[in-house]
Amino acid sequence: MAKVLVADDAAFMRLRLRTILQQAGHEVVEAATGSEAVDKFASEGPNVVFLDITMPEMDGMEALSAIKRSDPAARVVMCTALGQQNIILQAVKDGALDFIVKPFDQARVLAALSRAVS
Amino acid sequence: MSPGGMAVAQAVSSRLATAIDRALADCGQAIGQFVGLATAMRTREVLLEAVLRVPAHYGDLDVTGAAAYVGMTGDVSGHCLLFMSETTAKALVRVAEETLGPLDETLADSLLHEFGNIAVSAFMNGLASAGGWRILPTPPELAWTVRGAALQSLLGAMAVETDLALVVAAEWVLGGRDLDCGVLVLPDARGLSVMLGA
Repeated sequence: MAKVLVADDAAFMRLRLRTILQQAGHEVVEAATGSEAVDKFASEGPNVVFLDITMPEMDGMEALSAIKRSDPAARVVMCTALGQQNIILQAVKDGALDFIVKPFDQARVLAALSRAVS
Repeated sequence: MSPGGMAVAQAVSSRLATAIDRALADCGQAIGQFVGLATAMRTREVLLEAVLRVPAHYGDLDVTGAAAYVGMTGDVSGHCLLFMSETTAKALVRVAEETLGPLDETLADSLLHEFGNIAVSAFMNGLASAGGWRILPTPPELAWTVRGAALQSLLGAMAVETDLALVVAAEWVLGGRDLDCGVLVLPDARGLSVMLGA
């Protein structure tokens, strides 16, 4: 079982991810902004972070950089509707382990989590 | 083409129309995956139109519904608005409730918010890929309003920037039903220049 931090400004998407992850037996912590994700990463110590890119206050790319600065070994999966190659490459360059493009299904989410924790 | 509408010049329109066709097809596919129903989205018309005449292309302006606004930044800057009637919005919420159970008002709004995000992002991804541009959306904003007000608020800001707008009107079929939902793409003067100059 993994402890997963889900950061997305859309409550519906947090619900959807939480449902998928909890049904598979994982523990879920939520954040609604990039800055909250950075705080929760420090306080909760999750095994994996699912991080949305397009968020208000601090976007996912900024949050990714902040998380990687605080813990270079952090396992972060970017989770976004933006599937443009240059954005994916930038996220990977900034330290993201994987990238899943919305809309996603249960199999894609669990496969990304499995790759991240292995 | 609407009376007074000006068709995009042929030399430009074939490439631009192809990019928009692809973007709308990607948008339809993403929506289908999101709601779990077969979805098709096709171009009804693509026009360069005077900003003031844009509303004439978007049907009944008194319809109440959900407007999802996303700004475009990057190589092609401007605005994108997805408007769905209240009937369409409620149909989407019902589809989601079949798998997730009852959604309260906050979650239903969030669903529509994310629906707008996914639809518009898929459109932008397709457009960026087909045109070779880098296009980034701003965080989506959702508002319950009437179609005419949503359009006017956007076009009011546009009129300061440019006289012409790119009208992209689409037909959308979800699970065998025609839905009242439209995408309005309004590149600003710089974005329009990039798109037409490609």
